[in-house]
Amino acid sequence: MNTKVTINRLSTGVPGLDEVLGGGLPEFSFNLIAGQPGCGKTTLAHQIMFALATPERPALYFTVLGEPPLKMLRYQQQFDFFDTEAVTRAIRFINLSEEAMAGDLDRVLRRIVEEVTTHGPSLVFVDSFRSVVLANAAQQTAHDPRTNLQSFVQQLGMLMTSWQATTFLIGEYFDETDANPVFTVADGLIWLRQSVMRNSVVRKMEIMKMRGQPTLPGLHTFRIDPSGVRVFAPITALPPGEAQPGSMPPATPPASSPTSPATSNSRVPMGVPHLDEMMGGGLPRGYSLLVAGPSGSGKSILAAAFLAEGARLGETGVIAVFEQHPNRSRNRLVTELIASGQVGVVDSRAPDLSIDEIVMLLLGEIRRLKATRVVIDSLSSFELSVAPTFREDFRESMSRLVKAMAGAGVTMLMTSELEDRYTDLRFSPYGTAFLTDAIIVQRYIEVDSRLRRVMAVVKVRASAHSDELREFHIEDDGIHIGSKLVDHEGLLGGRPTRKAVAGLTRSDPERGLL
Amino acid sequence: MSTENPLGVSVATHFASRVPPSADSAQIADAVFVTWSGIDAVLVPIIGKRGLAALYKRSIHVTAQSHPWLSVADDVAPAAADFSELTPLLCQQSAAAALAGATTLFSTFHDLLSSVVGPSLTERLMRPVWVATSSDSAAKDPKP
Repeated sequence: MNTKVTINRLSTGVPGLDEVLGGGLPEFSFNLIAGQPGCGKTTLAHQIMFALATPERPALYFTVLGEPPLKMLRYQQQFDFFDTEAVTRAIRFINLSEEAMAGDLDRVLRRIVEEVTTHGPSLVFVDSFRSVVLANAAQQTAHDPRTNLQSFVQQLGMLMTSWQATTFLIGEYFDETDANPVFTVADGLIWLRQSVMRNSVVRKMEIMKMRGQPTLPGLHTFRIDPSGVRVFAPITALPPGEAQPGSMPPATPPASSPTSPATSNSRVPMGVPHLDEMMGGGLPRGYSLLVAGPSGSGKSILAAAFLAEGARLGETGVIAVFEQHPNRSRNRLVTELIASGQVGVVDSRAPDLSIDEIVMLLLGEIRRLKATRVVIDSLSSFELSVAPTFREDFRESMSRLVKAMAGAGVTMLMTSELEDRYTDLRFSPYGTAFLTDAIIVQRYIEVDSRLRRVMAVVKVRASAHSDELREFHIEDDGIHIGSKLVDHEGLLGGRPTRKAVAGLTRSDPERGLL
Repeated sequence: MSTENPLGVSVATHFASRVPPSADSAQIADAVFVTWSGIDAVLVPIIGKRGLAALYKRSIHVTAQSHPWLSVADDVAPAAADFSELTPLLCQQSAAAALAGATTLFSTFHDLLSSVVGPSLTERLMRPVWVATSSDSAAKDPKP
């Protein structure tokens, strides 16, 4: 017989928070929500409260001296989660300013006890705790404020656990380096931060402590929008089923195992004649493909063809665009696919994006449409959309994104702007090339005073593929791949030369090496 | 002003129904005090004594513009609202003037609270006041 206590985990109602907490909030736990003013503590507390409180499981929200209750009610009701009907029915706001102003912690505690005894709440919030502390400090004469405070917090913690209430103290005063006694007493410590870098501010949350739970270490970005707080838990935190699209559309074969895509024979047609042959029969399902090339070389057109081919085969897709004027820059084919509902769009022009946020948005669309193809157009504009604080970790984040998409079982195409460097054979400015399973590179070459385009398949992991540099044209109906330029060499140097007939070469030896 | 209470009746109408038709100003003053005490019981736990006092003072100030007799001592930051101060002022007026002043005062207060926390939450918070007043009035009505 299992005699261990079973701790119920409460679902907080804050998207992503349960994952970060390691499976929800332990019932009857005593938690702190700390952070600087304006970082979203009260909003987080309200959102949790409105999600959890019911007439059978009522909540008491004690307001102390911090934010005047009238203002708090005024502003909190702007959020979608604020349910007026729940106020007084399931949620009771109680003002303790009189007790706190007297500076007597015992009186504050007595009042809390009275109210808790009267109403028997399952959830108790004390906002803001800073004022309790300040009131205490102001009142101190003979006692050491610390001792008094610690005893207050300890008593409160004991009391609430015995009264079977899950409790939250909300406060902005805590200094992380301070060995505050409150930290020791608390079961959970949720720290909210605003990270400022250059002009951008990014909100981050850290679970510094949550007794008995495997919380996710690290700083997790979150956003506050009209629906409230949304935490972007790293993708690895999501339960495996979460990341998988529901079921594949009947027209497509089942996705290969994301961990060993190469073992599957299933290939995804690219929608560009001859390109599949060049790739050894199409792009292996579940692979990520990087299409790199200079501006205007036809990357987006290739991406559109990839989505259109999917749609033709009955697959759905998702495209993430990060342009400032998406309607202007989006090509006609993609616009039609979006209009028909075969392709979903992740078009976040919100400032200071984080990659985890994009991953969440992508997975949301993938799940909604049961999509099998994903396009990110382009990585260059994506990088610009990401908040500066994440740019340093762009590669690590990209790696998470690629893994997340592989985990979702989708086949992904990313485009990347590539500066034309004729002395340097690089495929991506981020060093992201090694992250992807396949690479196609597009280049301009000069032949007979014309700019012509060539394309090559550089890499298809664990698969044979063409090593040819093929010329291609862009027509109204898309990309047409032509033949090799057999009579030219030094193509990657950008200025190919016609081959000499009898083995004599006229090419510049340095360029020819490329 | 058409401030609605949960029953869909304006606050003014509602308060008027709380007062017997032939009431004199002293009876009106009593009804006003009882109603304010009800508001106090409902709102003070939530917004604190000072929070309510501030809203009350503001309502008095606004109402006094149309009912100049309704002027009480200006206290910049009162620690608590003293509703009994209204009783002598109301008693000095004719019944009609007292009723008009009192209903305007409640409407003003209701509107002020609505402008801060929104009509829906105001309605939710004030519901016990009006519901209690309704049943009270039914019970107390049979006065000669």
